[in-house]
Amino acid sequence: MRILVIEDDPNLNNQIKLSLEDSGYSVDIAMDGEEGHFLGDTEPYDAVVLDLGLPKIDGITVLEKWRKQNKNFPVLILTARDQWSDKVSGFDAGADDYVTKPFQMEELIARLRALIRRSAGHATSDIECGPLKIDTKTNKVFLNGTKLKLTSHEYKIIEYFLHHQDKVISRTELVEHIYDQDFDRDSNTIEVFIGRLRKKMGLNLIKTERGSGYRLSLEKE
Amino acid sequence: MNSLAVRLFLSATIWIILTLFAAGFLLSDLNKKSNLAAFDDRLNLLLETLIGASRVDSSDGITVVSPIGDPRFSQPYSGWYWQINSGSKTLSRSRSMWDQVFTSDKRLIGGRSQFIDNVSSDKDQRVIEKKELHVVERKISFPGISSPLVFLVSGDTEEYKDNIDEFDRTLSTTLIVLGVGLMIAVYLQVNYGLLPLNKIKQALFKIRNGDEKKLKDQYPLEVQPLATEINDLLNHNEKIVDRAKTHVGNLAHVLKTPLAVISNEVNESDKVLKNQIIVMKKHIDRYLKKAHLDSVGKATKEKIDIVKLTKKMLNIFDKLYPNKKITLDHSIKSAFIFSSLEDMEEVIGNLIENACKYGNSKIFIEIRNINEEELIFIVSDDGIGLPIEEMNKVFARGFRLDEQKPGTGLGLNIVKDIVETYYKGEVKLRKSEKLGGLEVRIKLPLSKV
Repeated sequence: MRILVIEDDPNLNNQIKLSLEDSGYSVDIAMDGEEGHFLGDTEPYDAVVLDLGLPKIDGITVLEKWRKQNKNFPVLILTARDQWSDKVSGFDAGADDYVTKPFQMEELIARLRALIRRSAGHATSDIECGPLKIDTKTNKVFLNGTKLKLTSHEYKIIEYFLHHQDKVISRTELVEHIYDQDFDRDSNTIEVFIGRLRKKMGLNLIKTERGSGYRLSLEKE
Repeated sequence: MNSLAVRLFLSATIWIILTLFAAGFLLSDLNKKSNLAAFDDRLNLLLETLIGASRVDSSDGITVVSPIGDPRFSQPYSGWYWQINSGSKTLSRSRSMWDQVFTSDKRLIGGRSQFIDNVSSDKDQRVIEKKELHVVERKISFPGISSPLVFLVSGDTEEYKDNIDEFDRTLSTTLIVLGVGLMIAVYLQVNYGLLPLNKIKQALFKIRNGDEKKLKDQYPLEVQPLATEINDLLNHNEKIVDRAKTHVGNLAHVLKTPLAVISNEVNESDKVLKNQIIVMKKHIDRYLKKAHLDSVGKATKEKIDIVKLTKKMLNIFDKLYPNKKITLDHSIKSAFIFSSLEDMEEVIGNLIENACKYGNSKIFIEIRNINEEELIFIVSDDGIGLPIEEMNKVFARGFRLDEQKPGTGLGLNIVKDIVETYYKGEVKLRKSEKLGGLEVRIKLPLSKV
């Protein structure tokens, strides 16, 4: 899952990035509204943390522009403004959640996790696909009740598949959602990760769709 | 003298009274003079008749050969007298003079017989009232008489004084009627002239009541600058409020972001630092809320539909608190409150958020009205509620129901401040009969449609 953090305070920005990476997310950061808007416009994010008081373009305008361009990723507004009129205008602009500063990092991460889950249409923190179950709260994957030992990249891939079950996902899409912007991307490594995952699960839940990508499904091939 | 109408009316009235008085005096005086002149003319005419009727008789005396027309010259003490003198010697007198005689300086002396029948011992009390006489005289030389003769004729001024009194009475009646008429005219004129100001007054009332945002109508040349100025002032006011709010927002941002960074860097074990951060956060929140309260009630007010606004806010709460089940029951389709949108968002937001924080899972909101006059807004939750003695404490500034829950504890204070101080409403707390938790009941005056 790839998250964009737009926050003009470099310290806070860095803190959020590190905490989110610790929780298994790939994180891109932007320091102003212009850069943030550009990244959101061009990269496929699974969620955005957006400050309101930003240099160049303010947060509300950035959000409005995205929504006008039909960018539907969930957006969590993280701001110091705690008046209800600010909250209302934030939600009017198309926000999905609102956290006021100063905040607890755990709360921010929990709300982001719930936001991503809800936007994929899942109601609880546990997502299942047959014998496979993921607990998004603890970043643990279980197969028939037994915990699987996965690397962080493997976890990111299986988490993305579980959020988008029965949907064909291209290699590029996987790369885009698993690595952050600065990562040296190589779509060939995806094949390696998929191969390892199939081996660890011992089940072929991840099907290869010839020419288009992969699909997580319970169906027999 | 604070009313323009009274000012105009009084000044015009004083002017009217002064002018009419002056005109009255002038006219009365003119009339008096012309009456006097006419009387004088008449006496002169009589004098000439007397002279014409006088003949020198054999003993160098004078005989008036024919009566001079007016019977009052034969009526004793009538005031109509004539007398012919030669030097200090009186040659002839009218019969009406009886026992009186004119001295050489035209004083009337004698008239002792007036007192004959007077029983009173008071000599000054006369049977016949003292007459004011107007005397004309002429010196004529008659052929055959060496020294010139002095002819005197007098008449009772009573005659023309009656005329003058009569005229003055008519004049004053006319002037009083004219004055009253003018005052009515001034009254009507003042009211008509001040009509545009009354129109502005009503338009301003509408602005205050939220029916209008600015003065729209065209006003007369003299009043239009005032209307324009008021509109500019309204705009300026709105801008200042906006600027103040921006400053508050900026301050919040400036202080809260570093605080967020610090609190994220603090180790779990560093209790002192953690506590200090909480204290700082509380102070910042308190002063920001205070600054916010200063802008409450000052923003532009309009008619806000509370039902519509609540529904909109509930969509937000679905996202902020997806696990709470919030039910809205409204017996009226719409309920308009004359307020600023921000203030009502703050009231409703804080009320529902309070219920979300302290309630377990269910929240019930009820909106209804009393007699088209008052709006009742009730939010109840299924939390642990509050003992009665604690309910009063909630409104003490900064009190928090549960120190463990997020928030500043200022939510209900703000609601109370906004509702009771700025909108003449009422906030009451009690135990919810329906859900068992806390019930917050708000009463607000409905805007007249």
